[in-house]
Amino acid sequence: MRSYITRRLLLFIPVLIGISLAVFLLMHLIPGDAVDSLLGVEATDELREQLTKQFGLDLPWYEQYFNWISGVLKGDFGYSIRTGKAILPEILSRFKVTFELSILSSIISWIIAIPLGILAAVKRNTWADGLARVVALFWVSIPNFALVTLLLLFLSLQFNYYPALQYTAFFDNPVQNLKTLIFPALVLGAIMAGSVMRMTRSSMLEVLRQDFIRTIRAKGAKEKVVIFKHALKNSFSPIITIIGMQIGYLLGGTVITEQIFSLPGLGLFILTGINQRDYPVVQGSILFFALVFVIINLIVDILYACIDPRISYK
Amino acid sequence: MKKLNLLLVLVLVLTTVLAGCGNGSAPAEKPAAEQPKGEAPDAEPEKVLADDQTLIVGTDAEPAGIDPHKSTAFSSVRITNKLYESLVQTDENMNIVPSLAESWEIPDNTTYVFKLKEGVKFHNGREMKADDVKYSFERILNPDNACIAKSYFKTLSEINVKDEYTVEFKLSEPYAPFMSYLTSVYASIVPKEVVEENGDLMQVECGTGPFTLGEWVPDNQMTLVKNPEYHIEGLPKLDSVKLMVMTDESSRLAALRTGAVHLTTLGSQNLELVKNNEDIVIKSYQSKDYTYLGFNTTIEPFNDARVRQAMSLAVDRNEIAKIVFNGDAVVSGPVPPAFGKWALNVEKNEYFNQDIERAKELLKEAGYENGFEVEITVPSAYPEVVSTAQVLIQQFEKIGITATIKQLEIGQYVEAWKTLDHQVMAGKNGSGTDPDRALSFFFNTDGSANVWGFSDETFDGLVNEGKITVDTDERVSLYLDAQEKLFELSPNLFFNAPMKYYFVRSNVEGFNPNVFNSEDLRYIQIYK
Repeated sequence: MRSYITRRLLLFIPVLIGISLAVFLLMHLIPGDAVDSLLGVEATDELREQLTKQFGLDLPWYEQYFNWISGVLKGDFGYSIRTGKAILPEILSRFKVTFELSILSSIISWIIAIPLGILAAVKRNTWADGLARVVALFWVSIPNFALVTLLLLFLSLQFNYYPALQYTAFFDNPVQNLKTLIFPALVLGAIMAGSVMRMTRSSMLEVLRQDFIRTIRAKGAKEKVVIFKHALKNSFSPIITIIGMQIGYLLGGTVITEQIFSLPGLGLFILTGINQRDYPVVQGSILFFALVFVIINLIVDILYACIDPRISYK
Repeated sequence: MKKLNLLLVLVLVLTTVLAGCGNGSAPAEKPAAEQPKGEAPDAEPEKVLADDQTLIVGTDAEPAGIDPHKSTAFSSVRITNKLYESLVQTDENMNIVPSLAESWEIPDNTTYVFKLKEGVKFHNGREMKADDVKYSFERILNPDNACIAKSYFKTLSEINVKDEYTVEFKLSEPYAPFMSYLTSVYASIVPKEVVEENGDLMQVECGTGPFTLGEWVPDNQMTLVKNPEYHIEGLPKLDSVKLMVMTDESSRLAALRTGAVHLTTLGSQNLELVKNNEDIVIKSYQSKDYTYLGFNTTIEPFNDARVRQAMSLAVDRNEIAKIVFNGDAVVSGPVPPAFGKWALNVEKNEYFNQDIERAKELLKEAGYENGFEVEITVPSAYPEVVSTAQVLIQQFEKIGITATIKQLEIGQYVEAWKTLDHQVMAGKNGSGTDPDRALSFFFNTDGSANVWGFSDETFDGLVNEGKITVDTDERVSLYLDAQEKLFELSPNLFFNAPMKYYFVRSNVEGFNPNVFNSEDLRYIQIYK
């Protein structure tokens, strides 16, 4: 197991170098540059030149890349062109918000989806199954911006309520933190729940049809034991895969939800960075996001081994 | 299993409730009159000041730094103009009035002497004096600092401190827009020690303005706190201002409806949605932004003035105002009507009135009797510009010109704008605070923003003369002539200056935006 993890960790290096290079080139290939976005029509040629030089944008691209990546290796992600602030602390403070939101919405989705999925599988082809599938389909199909906007309108028009605007960190004031995050988390949770529920149902159905379940039933085990101890445990691998992927995406920033609920998360940060051609911000954030994504994938792979004794990494 | 059933029911209720909210007519059209919980309007209750004098503003963008000399984005300027002040300011009638300078003299047309107000303190408690004025302008002029206002003051050759409260500016040649450029927040007075201690003022502040910087949580909120030592007694009336970053317009509207924010900006399409809501009032003013279509005058057929004139005559500007701005816009040239006497009355100008027959004749004279095809480049980020271009397609069709639209993301648009990589380009521009900026900057042969390849000797002569003529009446007449000439040559077609709107809770009083100072929060009070 240990050698497997070491090998996976070593594989991170080429993956991250590849991603950093791709992001760097893509950002520099888009027409328009940071200085123009910063100055707009007020720019004079002299001013433009001055700033281009100041930000090192006059150097050849490979030199710019080298300067940036060698900084990153030393833990220095550089400074934002737009605001002049150091990037790493900015990423970390925003990641905290996105992380909280992701975890909260994941928990909500598990609470909804897994019991619903089990119910639908056990009561296959009954009204309960049909209803649960329709609901899941609705959640999967509705775009998240529509659900978010509807929720906000519903709260403001029906209850004259608007979720708390000022973000407070969880450890400073958990209640206030929850007030800000609960509605966006509900929406994201519901949307995630759709696919998790569908996956739980189909995976459970598959396991329930297998011979060992029949054998357990024949041995006279209680239905509760059959479902929760044997069937559920054995159907968990695909569910974990989909949950892992979803958390990965959520951590990359849920741009639209963050934007509509005005949450200072990573998604909004990257979006503003792209619009302003703030190269170091976009490069740094995406590299960070990629790192998080590969780590989560690794965790999911390790979890497989914990759940399914047949899987072992050598 | 019972528990599971209960959960299922709960989930379904949530889904149904949310889905039901989207049923039928748009939810936003729900009569706003249902919401108010207060008394009937005819009761006219006595007004009582609210205990908490904190104004909550829904703002659409995070300020990108707060250095008054370096941060140029509107999101920054709306903050820096509350923290810092300049020597002079513009009132609603475009007159220059005192701010940090209490009076000034112009002994000859290259010398300006300012007498500073005594007792004005920076937010660090130190008094603002003539040395600070000298330092601030030296900072602006230093090329290493890349300050935006450097180009405003390129004729400024000497800054002399006469005594603690008197400062003299010497210009290398007469430059009439000098005073109006001094009103800019980019020409704010800053204290030397704070700049030196921090390198710049992007993240810290120390101005003389009515508010000081409190807490700042990036991409979430910024708090401005009352400056208790502000140099105008009794102001500001508020204790603090909280600016919440809310990039989504529907969120700002929802928050305003519930009172979670007191004041915000929204597009005109939202007017209809709040018209029956007694808790929300609209404050509007005529903006000095205008929409335009700019020609690349270096390529055929747009290098022929007759073609440009024909296209100008094909346009019905009132129709654009009606369709694009719902009628809430005036027909405007580059010097908008908000500039008063400086603006040529465009409604009387022949090129601003649709005349299809004459347009066709001009096209025929130019050799394009059968019209031609043209691609209009538009920035997708400005919906009003995109809609304007759509109306133009219909109008140009009447004289045989087939137009298509090419939408570009803003970065690509600026690139195309800068490199003349387009045939014609629709956009919107701001006119600044002086006709020199509105005309010379965009259309003088060597104007920094003349991206049209446009050059005309007569026009250049008029605006260059305007730049050095200090007598106001004479200057006005020069700029009126320049506008006349510009419309005749039509390097750009000018369309509309829209109204701008602030949506404000009705318990907020003392907020009166005008075109030259759209966000003066000093007089605001909040009532219960």
